[in-house]
Amino acid sequence: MAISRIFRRRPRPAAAGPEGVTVRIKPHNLPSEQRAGRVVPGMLWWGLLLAAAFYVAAHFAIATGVWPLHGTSPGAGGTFMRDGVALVAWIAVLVALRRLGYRGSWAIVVLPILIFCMTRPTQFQIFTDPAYQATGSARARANDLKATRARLSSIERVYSEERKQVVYQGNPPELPDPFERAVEQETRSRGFFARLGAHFSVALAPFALLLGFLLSREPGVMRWVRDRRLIPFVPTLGLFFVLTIGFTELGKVGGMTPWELFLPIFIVIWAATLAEDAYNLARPGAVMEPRRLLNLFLYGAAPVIPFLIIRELGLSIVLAGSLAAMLLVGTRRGWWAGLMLVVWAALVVAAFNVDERSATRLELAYDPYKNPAEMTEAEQERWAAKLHQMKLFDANVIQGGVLGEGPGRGHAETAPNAADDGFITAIATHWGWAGAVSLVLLYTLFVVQLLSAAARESGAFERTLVTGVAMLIGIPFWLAALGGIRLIPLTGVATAFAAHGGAKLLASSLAVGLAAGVSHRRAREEIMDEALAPPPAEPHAKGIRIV
Amino acid sequence: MLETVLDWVLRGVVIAFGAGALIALARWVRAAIRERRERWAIRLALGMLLLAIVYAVGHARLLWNAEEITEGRMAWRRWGDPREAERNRGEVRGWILDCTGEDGRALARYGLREGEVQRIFPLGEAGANLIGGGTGAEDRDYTVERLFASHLRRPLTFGEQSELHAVGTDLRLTICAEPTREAWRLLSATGMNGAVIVQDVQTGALVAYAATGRAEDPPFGIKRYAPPGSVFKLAVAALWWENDIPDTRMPCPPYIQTGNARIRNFESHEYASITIPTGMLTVSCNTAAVRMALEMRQRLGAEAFRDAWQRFGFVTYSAGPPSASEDEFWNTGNPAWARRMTPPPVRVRFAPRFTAHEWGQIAIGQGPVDVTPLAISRFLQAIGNNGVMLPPTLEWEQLERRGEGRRIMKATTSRKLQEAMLTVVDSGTAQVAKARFAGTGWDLGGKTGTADVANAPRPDGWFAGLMYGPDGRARYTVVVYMQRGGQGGRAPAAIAGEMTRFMSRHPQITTPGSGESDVPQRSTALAGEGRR
Repeated sequence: MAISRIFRRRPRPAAAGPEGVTVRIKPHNLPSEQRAGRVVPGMLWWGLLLAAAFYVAAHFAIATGVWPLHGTSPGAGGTFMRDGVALVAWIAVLVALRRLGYRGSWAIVVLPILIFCMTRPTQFQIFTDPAYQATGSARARANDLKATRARLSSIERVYSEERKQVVYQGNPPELPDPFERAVEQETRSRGFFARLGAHFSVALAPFALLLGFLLSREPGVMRWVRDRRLIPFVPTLGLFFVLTIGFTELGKVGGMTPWELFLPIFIVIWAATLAEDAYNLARPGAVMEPRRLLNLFLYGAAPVIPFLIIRELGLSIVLAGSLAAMLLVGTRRGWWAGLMLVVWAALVVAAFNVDERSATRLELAYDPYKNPAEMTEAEQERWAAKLHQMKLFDANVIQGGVLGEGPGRGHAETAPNAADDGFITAIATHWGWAGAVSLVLLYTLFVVQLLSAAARESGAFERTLVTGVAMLIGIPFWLAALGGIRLIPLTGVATAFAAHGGAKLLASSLAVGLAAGVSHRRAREEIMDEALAPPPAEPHAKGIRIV
Repeated sequence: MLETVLDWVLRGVVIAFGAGALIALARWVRAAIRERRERWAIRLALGMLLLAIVYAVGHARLLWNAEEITEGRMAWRRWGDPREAERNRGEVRGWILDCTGEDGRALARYGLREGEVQRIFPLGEAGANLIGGGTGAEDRDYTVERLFASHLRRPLTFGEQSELHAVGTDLRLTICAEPTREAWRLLSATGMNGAVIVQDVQTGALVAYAATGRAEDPPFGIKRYAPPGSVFKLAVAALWWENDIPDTRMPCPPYIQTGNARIRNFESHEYASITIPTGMLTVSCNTAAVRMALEMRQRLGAEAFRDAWQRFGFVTYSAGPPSASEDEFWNTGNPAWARRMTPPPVRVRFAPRFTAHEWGQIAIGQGPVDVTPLAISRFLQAIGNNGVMLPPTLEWEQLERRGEGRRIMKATTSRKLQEAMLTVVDSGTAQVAKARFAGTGWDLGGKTGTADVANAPRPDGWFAGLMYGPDGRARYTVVVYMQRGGQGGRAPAAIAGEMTRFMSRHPQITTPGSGESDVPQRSTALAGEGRR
């Protein structure tokens, strides 16, 4: 309970005044209207405690149950430490928020931590697997050694001496270690900065959230962005274009995908644009003015173009979808939604007709298991290469069944990109249908809470900004989750807090921090409004009735 | 143990998160509607909830179609499947033990090969068509190793449940390693395609099974149709005795005119007078069999045939051939096995208005009659078991659930058939087998079959018989089928004779039919359930 006290209201020293009896009221005895926003609500508090315990226990179960059998990847110990630091950092951020007098919605701060705690053990298992990050022959070799080690360990663990004798017919062979081969390959394949970035983004994410909060809790910074939005926008967009056109190879820059870091900036700027002009954008006649059309193109459409250049259709959907939802909420006009739906549908049809990769993804989602007997050899080879990832995602889901295989169990790591594109399938392997649906519900609750925070805002800027954040987090989640189980084509977007992706984690934490700051400001304003409200009028006699 | 408990606690926590989130969402929606919050926020939130439901249903759909998806995945396994590779290389499945239950005779186990612990199938090619391993093992989707995968992977103990590679549970089969190896040796020595099946008469247990066939072919002895030839005369004789028609003497001319066509004896043999049905079976007289069938149609009516075929487990049809398999053919606890390995039904095309020629063709097993070797073995098991048919059993633990079986013929009929079958080996078409087991104290009875196949250079050869122990009790069926194997009285009968000698010389093999005490007795609780 000592930890619990950190999050509760600290007793304040008695104010100087006339002597008397000091009455200290425990936070849970405060009337709800005074308590609101100052302490973590009970359900969230217990959820947080449970999540932290789950996080530690699941890591422990993987380290003791999976590592000895499969061996580990290079730097697995470091990953273990890093995850420990990340947990401490998240808790520290909550303490810091409490100390900073946070009064906004605790749900939008605590729920991502819950999601992080629930999903990180799966990521931990995948990234400490000796073969997951290796490629080519090194991966195959590491897989071989891993399997051999697992079999020998199991036999040693369970078989009787008599049966071991039947198996070995003498002395048992030596237990191989897949670690060394994987270290060698891993060190060669990934650059220093890529490894550093991947490692530190997890531990830095909590501080990104804090930074976002600090930036938006006072109106000054946001006001500056609103007033001078071209200053941050032009260099950001310029850098974005330069990177995508000049330095991108297969969607990556130096082995990293920094694109997500741009998104919160575009969201803030778009919110500022809408806040300024929402009234006119709500009128079809006014929209057609050249200056307005230019604004729509510059701030609303131009940021999507680089994604299309590098054929990042998933991220373009995320950004365009977020901007569209913000437009809808900012203007409160349904016809915008209709128009955007038409445009979106046209784009989708065009993408599937023009872009071969999109058409393939569509086929992979709805008709993956074609009959190889009806294909030529060349066609078989081509389709097998495309099907490879999807069939392993399916295997992940099926193996997990209803209740899953348990922490780190079930070989989810054999699927390429199981930690990002297929994160939901990895969750399904470890925790089954029940676990995946639990995560979906938790995530839904998180996005709904963000929307709820947005709805509480009265200012157009804040309202659209928080809606944008909600969509920035919600859309990728649904794209990845529904894509993982083949309800829609895979888009390859990363999911915040639940899947691998350092840039995504940092960007999302920052965005949540911004939303938390806005929510905090709103709560503070409500309290001030309440304090400044005129006292209720004294009841007074309106007249005398003489009977 | 502790780790398993921890795993379940963690699963509980995950579910608790989901339940908590669901409660919170329900509360939020209720409050939002009651307090008339912003409509767009409620709509978006409801949209999110709808997506969550869609996800839950979509995920469940994959689980529901798991079998179909896995089949699809397996079709593409040849192009690489690291999960299967890892699982196969890393997992420790249960062993497949033979009828003795001894580790040393295991049909599938682990052993050192090239310095690495690998899954080993000691039977090699002999077990490829049923157990697993051997050539084309990856492509055979019907083996015990494949279809009993979930049993072999089932964690051995509660503590194993939490292990990454849980050591699986052993599976003891009724198949015995040594007789199967011998059957394979004999079959492969002929260089022909075929199957040898030995089934226990008292329990229905499959004791030996060896079959050739490529990986992409259906399992030869179980799912492949073949014309039965003269083996089908056993059914004609059974019908004769079932209806208490007295034995009589009849000539066996070289051919019989049926309408505009003739049906001939093999190599136009003729006998002045034979006693039917025994004599008809002994010398395998086609013309007598045809006359018997025509006479029975006249005396009993066509429907009597239909009733008898159906009682014997054959399916009659008049229009399109039936394809639906018998639901409870096997005595098995494994639905996957039942689904994949239930043989197609023995089918007899039947129309009361058949011409005499068509009727005659059925009587000699040359007409529209399709059988499988395993179905013939089951029919013989009933003959050896006083007319009571038991479902074939492969899993040792299912033996006690075999039920009482189904009476398909009178005990007197089965006795008469057995006597006739003994005469076939003693002095009839299968005499070649006699020398093979002479002096062992065992006996063999049976029926040969030589079935002409359209456009084939040689006929298919059959021997379907019963092995008798020194006590005179029918112990095992033995069915030898050889595609293009020529006369049933030659190689197939010789193989049956060799198998009889082998079984007689290996009394130490604890087969289900050997009378050893560890053979599970039929459960009394299940005795009233009939077949299962």
